[in-house]
Formats: sequence, structure tokens, C-alpha cells
Amino acid sequence: MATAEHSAEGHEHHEESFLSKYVFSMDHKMIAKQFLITGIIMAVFAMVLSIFFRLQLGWPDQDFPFLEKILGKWAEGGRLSSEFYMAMVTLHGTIMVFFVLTAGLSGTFSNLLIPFQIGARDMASPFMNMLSYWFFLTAVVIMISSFFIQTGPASGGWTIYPPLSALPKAMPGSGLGMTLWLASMTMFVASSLLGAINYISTVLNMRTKGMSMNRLPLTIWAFFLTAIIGLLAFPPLLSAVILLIFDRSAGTSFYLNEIYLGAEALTNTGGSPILWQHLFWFLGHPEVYIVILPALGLTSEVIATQARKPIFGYKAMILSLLAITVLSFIVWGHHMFITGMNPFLGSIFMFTTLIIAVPSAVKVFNYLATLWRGNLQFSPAMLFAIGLVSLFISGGLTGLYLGNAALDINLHDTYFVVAHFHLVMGSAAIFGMLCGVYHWFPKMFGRMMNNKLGYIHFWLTFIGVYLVFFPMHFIGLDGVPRRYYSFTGFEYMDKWADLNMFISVAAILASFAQIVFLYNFFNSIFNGKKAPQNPWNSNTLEWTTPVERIHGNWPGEIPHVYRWPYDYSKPGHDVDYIPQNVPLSQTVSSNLPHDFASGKIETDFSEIESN
Amino acid sequence: MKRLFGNTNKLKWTLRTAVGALMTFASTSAFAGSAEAVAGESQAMYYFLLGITGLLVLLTVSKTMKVLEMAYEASGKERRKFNWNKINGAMLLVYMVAFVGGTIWEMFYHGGMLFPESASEHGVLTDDLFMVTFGLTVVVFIITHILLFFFAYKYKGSPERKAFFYPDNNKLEAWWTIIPAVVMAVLVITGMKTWNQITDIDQEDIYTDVEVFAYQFGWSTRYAGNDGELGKTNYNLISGTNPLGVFTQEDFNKKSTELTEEIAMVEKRIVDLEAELLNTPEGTEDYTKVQLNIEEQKDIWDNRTAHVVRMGKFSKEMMNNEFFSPAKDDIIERELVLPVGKTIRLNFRARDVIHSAYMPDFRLQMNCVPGMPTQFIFTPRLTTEEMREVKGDETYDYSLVCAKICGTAHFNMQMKVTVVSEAEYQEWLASKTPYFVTQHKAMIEEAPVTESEEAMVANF
Repeated sequence: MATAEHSAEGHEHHEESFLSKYVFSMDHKMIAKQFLITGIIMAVFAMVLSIFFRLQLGWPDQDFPFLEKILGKWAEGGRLSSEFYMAMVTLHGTIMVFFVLTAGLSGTFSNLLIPFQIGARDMASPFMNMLSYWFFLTAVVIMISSFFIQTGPASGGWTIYPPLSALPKAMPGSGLGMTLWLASMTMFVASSLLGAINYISTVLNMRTKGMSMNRLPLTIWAFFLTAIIGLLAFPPLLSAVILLIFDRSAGTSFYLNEIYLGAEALTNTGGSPILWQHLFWFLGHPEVYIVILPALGLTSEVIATQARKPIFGYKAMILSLLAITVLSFIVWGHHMFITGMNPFLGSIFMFTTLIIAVPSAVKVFNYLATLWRGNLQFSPAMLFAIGLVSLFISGGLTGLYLGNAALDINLHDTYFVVAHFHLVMGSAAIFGMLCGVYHWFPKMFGRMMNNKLGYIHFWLTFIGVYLVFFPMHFIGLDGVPRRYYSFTGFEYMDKWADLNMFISVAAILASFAQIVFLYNFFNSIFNGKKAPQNPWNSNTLEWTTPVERIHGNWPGEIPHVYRWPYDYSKPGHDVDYIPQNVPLSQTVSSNLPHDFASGKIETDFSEIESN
Repeated sequence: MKRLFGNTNKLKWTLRTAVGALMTFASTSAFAGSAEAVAGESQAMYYFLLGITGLLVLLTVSKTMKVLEMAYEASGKERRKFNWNKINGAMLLVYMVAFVGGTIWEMFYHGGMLFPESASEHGVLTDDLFMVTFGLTVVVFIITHILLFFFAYKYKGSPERKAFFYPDNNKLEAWWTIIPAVVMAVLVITGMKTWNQITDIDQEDIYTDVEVFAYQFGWSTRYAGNDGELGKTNYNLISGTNPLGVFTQEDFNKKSTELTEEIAMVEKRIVDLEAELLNTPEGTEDYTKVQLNIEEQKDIWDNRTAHVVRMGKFSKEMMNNEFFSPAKDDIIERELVLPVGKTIRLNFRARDVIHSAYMPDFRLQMNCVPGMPTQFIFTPRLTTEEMREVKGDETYDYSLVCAKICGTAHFNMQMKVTVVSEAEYQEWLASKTPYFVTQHKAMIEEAPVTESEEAMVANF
């Protein structure tokens, strides 16, 4: 009796100091919040960088005196310097891809939802989980510190191709700034690996009774496969980074060959700059799936819940996730069609790249089929989920141009690419993240966010995103290369000056719309309406936990699972949802023929009796 | 209160107008056309005002709603809630119209501002392939978006309805796996065909060879002279007077002399500095400065001696392979001039970092990688004059720009490209002096070359 009481309530009454509760927490829910808030801060930071360079691109001849006050010598006379422009482009990309869309998205929701939705008290290794966050924060601090050094942050683009990144003489940002970038990335890879190992072992080993792999919510499938991709793809990046550190500091020549720079011929011979690209994109391409898969997982869950309808083709959704996971490792060469790679390899990579469109198309059609004849509840989360589907379609289709080697010759490194990946991976993943924040906010903070502010935020963002990125396709088709500080020196680019200004205005307004979200988010943490236990009438296990945060998630025993997570609007049942922990024996009127099969119900009965 | 606000129809009307205004803002790309008259800064103000108007409309709508809600409450009725499902459903429908309409409009408006027909023969193929892909994607884009937003509108939530329990349908799923697979097969096959046509090259064929050489931050070009063959190059030979590292015996000798002289100079400097170090009190700032200076000079010495070793290897290789470099008649220029209708082989090299030679008129791009020569074979089909006619722009010039981030002045790295008739091309070439003549003028005039040449090779 005493032991039972202890196991039930021991967690609750465990004394926590401020430090152990909020800082060095090993509780998956708190770590999720740490990741989320760090992610939001980094997102705002990278967004501000993008406003700065949009000012430059929209008004290349205009001085903005306030910039000098903020940036000092990097914006003398209110005009951004081209060195700092490059640094901002680089850091905007790095921060958004790695810190916001990888750590901020996966880190937040894998941590929050994996233990909740599979029915576990915490992660397999809470300590590693804490380390994962602290490595991440170290990476962030190192990266941001590069803004405060003489030569400025790394500025060779987020892909940091050597020799540009390997030779401090090649550009100012390739000095100390690049060293910090590499150090930060090493920390980040460590953080990602700690997280990934944890997510995989938790999903494989700690599912509650009855939670078989084919009863997992799609969110968990997405996080699980994302973690596998991360586990396999990040180590090559780490090795690539270490080789680059050797080239920079130890005089090796992994990436360097026959270079004449700064009025002398360098001694490095025998390496290949293309080697870096192979290693980098072996992570880099799977990385975009690391970014988008969790977003798709969150969206699947939200669309099913808010359409009050099972997700259409649950098995097909899992299979397409699996297909994307496998294919993501054999398509990296499509970033390198015009590096002088063997054209035969080019056609192989074109083939694998275009195949990936098939599972992606299946996902989109399944979303559409889920909406069909649903009973759609437009919560802000649902709107963002619909927005994600739209962005995923728009951005995905332009992938068919870029994946096609013959077309890529003319589109490579132009604004068409910028438009493509900002829609399909940037905005779509951010929409997935926002969708998750709106939907699971009550689970994180025990309060509700304001819906009306959510609607305003959604509409301004959705409109803004398309106004910013859709026109970029046309600029790119007209052969305007990306990462240009200014277009004024080129005759054929002159005609886009007006459009560039328009894009800048749209980007600035869309950025200001995020203030609505920030206000709503931080205000609701303290002043939001108290959340009910299951605000969206959802089936998954996280909504069976108490509203107040407790260690160990469930005060009593962990619930058992008797069904898949998508029994919404099941005919014969009077309520339009049946949570996963409701035994089939209690819903005889709505059970389908296959629910009666193979003695499932009997097992349920005997289990209940034995309890 | 009821009198004040009228019935709900009025509310609906207000909402509809507000939403309409907002949607107009949504498709503001449409304003780009009408705003053309307004120039420069005032245009930015125009966009900003437009955006702010949108925000104000939004604010008004939300405030109106709040007032209405309060009014209902005050009138003693049961607190009436707005049906957000209906409002958002309607917004999504309006968005569908504005979005699909706006994108189609933009395809015509901005699509019409793009490059006209391709100036190269393979570009015609890629343009055709582009149109095939474009046709397919536009159809899918429009259909899926209409379905997405229309379903969202049609099936907006209502307490009276229950969703249709429809977990799967294997047949349907098989269809929408097979159809995309077939479409992808079409794209892959057409894509591979075009890609192979562009890249399958018989190296035995005869091409007009031109070299494009990239460096921070500019381009050089090199043309074969009368012999039609480009001379060989080596990065060890690059110097202030031989920026492309072209190899002739004279260039080799000149570089060797330069290096020997430089090494002697550095050695002397080190001796001087070490003497200075002895005279400087230890621990002072000057002392460390001198020390650093010595380090620096020693690095230079290491670099130059390694360079000499590489030159020696190179000269041995040269002798073993009966190395012949037909470079003396090569012409080095800073613009790309090409004959129309001839198959050109562009040979790309880079000196320092990766650059990318991009010629959008020709649908041509290839990276220039240090230490790894690349090439692109193509045929120009329109001369500059013809393209000027096509574009109706009498001053238009083709250009080659850098598309791979390569440093702080990446944005300012372009070169003029001119396509002329074969006869004009030959005439242009004939009017140019080979680089060898200008570079080694003094040597040619003063000394018989051969003797010093052999002596130099023997030294290494």
C-alpha cells in the first residue's frame, strides 16, 4: 500500500529548487519549453537579420541612419557593408535551419510529445536529454558571439563551401568568425545526436502496454524517423567539419588544391573542394527532411483532430514517411549538378530526386482526403496546418524543376531556389511549428492562447509569406543569382527593382505580424484562460494527463492503449472521439468487424478484470 | 442597441466588405502594375500605406466585432458568439480566388518580363522541357489548391454535422500513388533525354576552345590563336604578369627567376631581422613585433621554397612527357566573344575559390573550381545583334555573371558576352595581339631565348 502510494504521488511532492525546476531540468516537458523559447528567440533574431538585408535589397541607394546606431562600423553612414550583408545571409540561414527548424522544432515537440503520446513517464535518458539542451545552448552562444568580434561572423553562405571558408585570406568572415561557426556546429551536432539517440530508444523501448508501432500517432512516427535521419546524417557533417578545421589550422589539404590567393601559390595540393560538397549535402539534404518531417507529423495530428475525422490512409502515411526517410539519403547530388560532376551521376540523382515526389504527393492527397467530408474546426492550429499543406504543395512543385538536372543548369543558385526552399522547407516547417505551438500550448503551459489573435496572426503571415516568396520565382527565372548584395550593376536585373522593393515591404509587414504571436504567446503563459484537460477533444494520451505539470506525467498508473489514435466520428458512438485508452469492450456499438477479430476484446476484458 | 447596429445582415455586409478589402491587399502584387507610375521612394510609401491600411481594416473589424458582441450582451440576450468556423471558411474561399487568380495573373505579368528565346541551341531544349514541367505543375498547383481551400470552406465545422468516418481506401491510394509515379516517369525520361543531349559529348569532335578564368572578383578569357589550340597552364606559373598561369618556356623561366630572387630577398630580410632581435631588449613590445615579423618571413620562405620544389617536379614531368604547350599565340582578353553557329567548348578554371559562370541568356551555368577544370559545350544561335532585335533593345548585351558565393564583391563580378558572325569573330581575333608578345616584349627584342631557357631547366 505504502509503495503504491509512493509510486503514484512520490513524483508530485518531490521538492524542486528553482535551478532544478527551470534551469537544469531533466523533465522532458521543461526541456521542451527550453528548446521552444530558445528557438523562438533565435527565430526573432534571424528574422531581424532578414529585415536588415531586405532593407538593403529593397532600397539599395537609400541610407538608413538607424542601422549605423545598431550595427556600428558594419553600416557606416546607414549603408550596410557588403561584408556584413554576406554575414547576415549566412547567419540567417544557419540559425533558421539548425537552431530554429531543427532544434526549435524537433527539440521542442519530440521532447514534449514522445513521452506523452507513447505513454512514458519521461525520456529513456533524462540526463542525456538535459545535456542535449545545454549543448544546443552552447552552440547558440558561440554562434551569436561571432557578432562581437573584429572580423565579423562567418560569411560564406550557410553551406560554407571551401576554399572560401577554408582560407582566412579569401574574405574577412573566413577568419575567427568561421572558427566560431565550426565550433558552434560541433556542439550542435553533439546536441542533435544526444537528442536523436534518446528519441529512438524512447520510442522503441518505453511505449505503454498496448501501444504497438501501428497504434503510434503519426507525430511519433515522424519524430522517430526524423531522429533516425539525424543519427545517420549528422556524423558525416561532423567529420566534414573536423576535416575543414584541419585544413584551416593544421595545414592539411582535404578540400584544397592548386590555389593562388593573396599573390602567392598555396602549398596545398591533392584535395578537392567538391569533397566538402558531397559530405555537406550528405547531411544537408536529409536535413531538409529533418526539418519538414516533424512539421508534417504535427500537421497530420492536428488535421485529423480538428477535422474530427481519422487521418486518411494511416498506413500509407507511415509508408510515405519511410520512403522519404530512405530516399533522403540518396538524393544529395541534386545540389551539385553543375559542379562538374560526372553527368551520368547527375542522371542517377535526378531519378532518385524526382521519385521522392511520389511519397510527397501521396501525403498531400491524403491530407485532402482527410479534409473531405470532415467537420473542420478552425482553431489557429488548424489554419496553420492548412497553410502548411498549401505551402508544401507550392514549394514542392518547384522542386520538380530544380530536381531536373537539365533545368537546374539555368536555375541553380538563382532566386528560384530561394523561393523554392523558403516555401517548402522554411515557411512550411515554420507553419508546422506554429501549428504545434497553438495546438499544444495548453499542454505546455496549462493555459489557452487567444484564438482571435491567432487568427490575425495566421492571416497576416499566410498572406505575407506568399507575397514575399512567390514573386521570387520570377526574379530567379530571369537569372538573378542569390546572395547578391545589390542588383544595381546589372542591366537585365534593373527591371526587378520595383518588385524587390515590394517584397521588402511585404517581408517587413509580415515580420511585424509576428509581434501579434509573440504578445499572444508570452501573455498567455501568464494570463491565458485556464485550459481544460482535453481542449480539442483529442484521442491521444497526452490529454489524459492532468493540466498541472507533474513529474512522471500521470499521477496514477500509465494508461493502457486499446486502439489507434484516430477514432474520430466513429459511427455508432455518440461522442465524436474515442481516446486511445478506452477499451474496445466499452464501445461495442461502434466497433468495426476487424475490432472483434483475433480476440482483442477478450484480452481487453481479462485485463480489466485482472486490474 | 439592435436599432443601432441593424440586423445581422448588416454585420455580414460589413464583414464581407472588410474581408474583400483585406483580400485585395492579399493580391497586392496586382498593385505592382498600377503603381508603376509612382516612382522610387514614394512607391515604397505607397506599399507601406497599403499594408498599414490592411492592418487598420483588420483592427476595425476586430473592434467592431467586440463592440457588437458587447452590444448583444447589453441587450440582455444570450451572449452571442461569432461563428469563427464560418468566418474562416469564407476567408479561405476568398483567399482561394485571390491566390489562384493572383498567381495566374503574375504568371502572365512577371512571366512576360523574363528572358526571351534562348540564345543557345541546347537552351531551346531546356526551354521546351521547362514548358512541359510548367504545364504539369500549374495544373496540379491549381487543382490541389482549389480542392484544399474548397474542402476547407465546404466542410467547415458545424455542431449539427458529424464527420464521415473514412479511414482508408486502398484503391484510391493506389491510384494516387501510380499517377504521380507515371507523371514522374515522364519527367525523368524527358529530363534525362535532354540532360544527355546536353552533356553527352564526343571529346574527339572539333570544337572552338575558349577558356573562361575566374578569380576574386572578375573574369578573364583566353582564345587559341591561329593553331586553334589552347596552351597548357599551371597554377605554379601564375604571377602578376601571367595572371592565368599560361605555360611557355619563357613564362616558366621568368617565374623561376622571380622565385629565386624572392627567396634571396626573404633570406636577407630574416638575417636582418634576427640581427635586430639581438639589439632589442627582451620582453618589450618591439621584441614580440620583431619575432612575429621573423615568423612571417619564415612562412614566406617555406612557401617559396615549396614552390620551387613544385616547379622542379613540373619541369621533370615536362621533359619526360615531351610536354608541348601551344601557348605563344594565345590571346587573353576580358570579354567573351563567340562565333554564332559554331560548337564552342568553354573551359572553366578558377584561381582562388569556387565561382560559377552563369550566362542566363544561353541557359548555361558551370562551376569554376580551383584545381579541377570543368567544361561546357554549346552552340550560340543568336548573335548579339539578333538578340537586340528580339528584345527591341538596341543597347542590350549578353552577360556572364558569378552565381556562386565567392567573397565580398560576389555581387559585382560580370563580363560582357558578345556573339558575332564567324567572319567578324576571325576579324576580331586577328585584331588582337597574343599575350606572349606583350608580356615578353623586352625578352623577344633583346635576348635570344633558347640559351637561358635550357640553363633554367637544368637548375631545377
